[in-house]
Amino acid sequence: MKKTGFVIAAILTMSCHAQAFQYVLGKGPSDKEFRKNAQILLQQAEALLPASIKQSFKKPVEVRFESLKEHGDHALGKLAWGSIRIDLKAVPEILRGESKATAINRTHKTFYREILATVVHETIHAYDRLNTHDAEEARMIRQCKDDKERDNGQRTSPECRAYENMYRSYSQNPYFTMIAGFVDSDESWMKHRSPDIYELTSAYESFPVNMEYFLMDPDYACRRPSLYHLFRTKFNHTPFPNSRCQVPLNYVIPDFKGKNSPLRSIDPNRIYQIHYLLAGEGDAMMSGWGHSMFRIIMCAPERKSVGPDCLKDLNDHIVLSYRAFVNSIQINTLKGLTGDYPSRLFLVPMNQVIEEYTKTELRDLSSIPMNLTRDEIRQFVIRTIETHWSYDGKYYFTSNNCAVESLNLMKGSIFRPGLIDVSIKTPMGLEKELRRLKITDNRMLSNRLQAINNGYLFDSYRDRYEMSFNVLRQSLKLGHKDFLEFLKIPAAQRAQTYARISSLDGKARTKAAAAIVLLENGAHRFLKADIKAQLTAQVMAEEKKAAKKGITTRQKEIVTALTEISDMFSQPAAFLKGASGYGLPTERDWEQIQAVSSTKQTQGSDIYAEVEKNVESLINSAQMKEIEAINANVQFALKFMRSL
Amino acid sequence: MKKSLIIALLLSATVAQATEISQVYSASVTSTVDSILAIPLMTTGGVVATSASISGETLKLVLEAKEDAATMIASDGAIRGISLQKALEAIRAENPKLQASDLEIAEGILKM
Repeated sequence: MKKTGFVIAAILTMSCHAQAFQYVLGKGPSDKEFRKNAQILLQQAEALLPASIKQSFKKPVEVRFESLKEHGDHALGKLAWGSIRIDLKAVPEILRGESKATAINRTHKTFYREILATVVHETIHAYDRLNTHDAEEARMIRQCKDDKERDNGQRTSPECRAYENMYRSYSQNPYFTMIAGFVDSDESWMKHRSPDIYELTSAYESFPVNMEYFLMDPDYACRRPSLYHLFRTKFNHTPFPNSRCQVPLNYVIPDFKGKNSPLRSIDPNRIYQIHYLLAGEGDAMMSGWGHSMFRIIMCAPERKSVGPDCLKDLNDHIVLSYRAFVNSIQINTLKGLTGDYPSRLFLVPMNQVIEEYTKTELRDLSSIPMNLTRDEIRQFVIRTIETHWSYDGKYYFTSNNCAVESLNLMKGSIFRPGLIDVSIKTPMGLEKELRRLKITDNRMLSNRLQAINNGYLFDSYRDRYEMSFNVLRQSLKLGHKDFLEFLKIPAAQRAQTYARISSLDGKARTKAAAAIVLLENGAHRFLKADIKAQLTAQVMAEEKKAAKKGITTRQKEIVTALTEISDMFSQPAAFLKGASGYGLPTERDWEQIQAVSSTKQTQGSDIYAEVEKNVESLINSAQMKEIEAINANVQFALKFMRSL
Repeated sequence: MKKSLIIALLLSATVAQATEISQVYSASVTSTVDSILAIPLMTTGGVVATSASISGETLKLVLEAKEDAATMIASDGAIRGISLQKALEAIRAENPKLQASDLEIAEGILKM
């Protein structure tokens, strides 16, 4: 009796909707109540699926209930031989029905929903394995496969790299794999704040896991906005049209000894432009090819309109910089080559970056405007924040360096034709490609002086030191070759030279005084850099000796404590350890972030106070005397100016 | 003094102070050195008789603009760095009747 009814129903369904997607409940417990409830569950699953996915299926999808443990699987579900199999442990829950679902502390909240999600998950796998593509994609795949055969494995054109091996409907899509974090390896580097770590194991698994949440969680749009945007476009499907969640664009600044909250917020509507920020070559090995960063031109809150004047609001600009996190006192070059240092995205104040690069390392900072639309700006910021909370990459000096990571940030948010195919190795290489694709516009940098005065170039202070030296060389008839030679003589000796400016007249006096101020500031920075290098080397030597003796010094304890704190601030998902939820933190998460970061700031502040005391005692008296002499020179020049 | 400077320079080359690497302890050492040895310009010096009055917020901008101000003066007005432009904008906004030229204000900023 049961069987006939089932067959009639099947025939009816087939004749009414000839090509409609269909789940067929197959082998499993014969209990009537169970099969009734199982049908309800399958109807729910079907209702969740996007039409575009359902339309790809030409045959019904069978769902069976059997023991998966026997085959060594402990999974709740799996796809095998075209059928979805759900493990028998789901049966009691299905019998209970959704209204009596069992609460669990995993991301789907109830076991019932977990079973429902599993059906969806396996269905997506089935869709993926159909290897179905739209006309344009199918054409690319055919062409690229033909090219590959014809050229017999020789150089692939960049556009074909994604297509020549494509045999899945979507899990090999280059945009999906990029955004899901499968950058350079088989595991995802968007590691933190995951709803289900199974997604990190492969793109093949990441696709159905993410679809579970895309289709079942109204908050997915705000937890994983980039993937949400991708799926919504690809599948032409808005799962929760009434959801009004707001994407929270909050981040944590790496201030682990301050007194104020390190939480910050970005309002994309207050962004004037986003620039590609390129630091010129430096002297250290890692700096030989420049450094890639981005600069978000935020407008000061009191500025009424968003426009070119915002270029002046340096204190509000944010710099995005990928850096390797070195968790020991000494940098190990080998580790930098083999991916043993994690790489993270830091959000740093612009002023700090200007100070570090132009004034201390004497490198130019070129700020090249990118012609992004308002939507692209918003997507880029969203992707930045997602990266800030989830990304934990590996620094490979040659292949996953700042340039590659910066490019990947763009690939995951700016969908210009050709960008996804770009392959570069260096920051200057990236600059060239962005120029070729007409994403950056270099015109503002064609004239050096204009570029400085308009805020597109932050010149290396080397130029200013040279200029200042030339001013003094002319007016005071100095014999030294260049500013470096001049600054090598003791400050007290320079003071004697400076005394002669009182015999100058007119404008030459203020010019000379200004030049002295600049040069002596430079001397101060150079001496400070030497002191820092010396102290660091001293510390390293002490640690090496202690390590040989097997002693743990107080210094080592400090390093360990500081590393732990710094680690958290460079990887802020750590503040939400133990919290439920995935993706971007929501408002409810702020309390925990605030509380934990505040505790760490206090700890950090205490440790810094200790370090400061130690360091102060280590600076030798000769160096302190020289610092004081430099300060005296600056004061002399200022006093002179005030007297005019 | 000279010998130690040379040694220090050699050490600094091998120790790689590259900013691209965030080296935790080195960062704490360098940042404490920074706070112990503040750049001589980052404080206000004498009392300046100018006709401009500025708020606390603007004073912060002025301190940040001092090196740019010195650069403008030393370059005969050619180089006008962005921090200086921001300070000039703020000073003028708070003192709309101020008649002084940018160069004159820059001199005032340096003397402050």
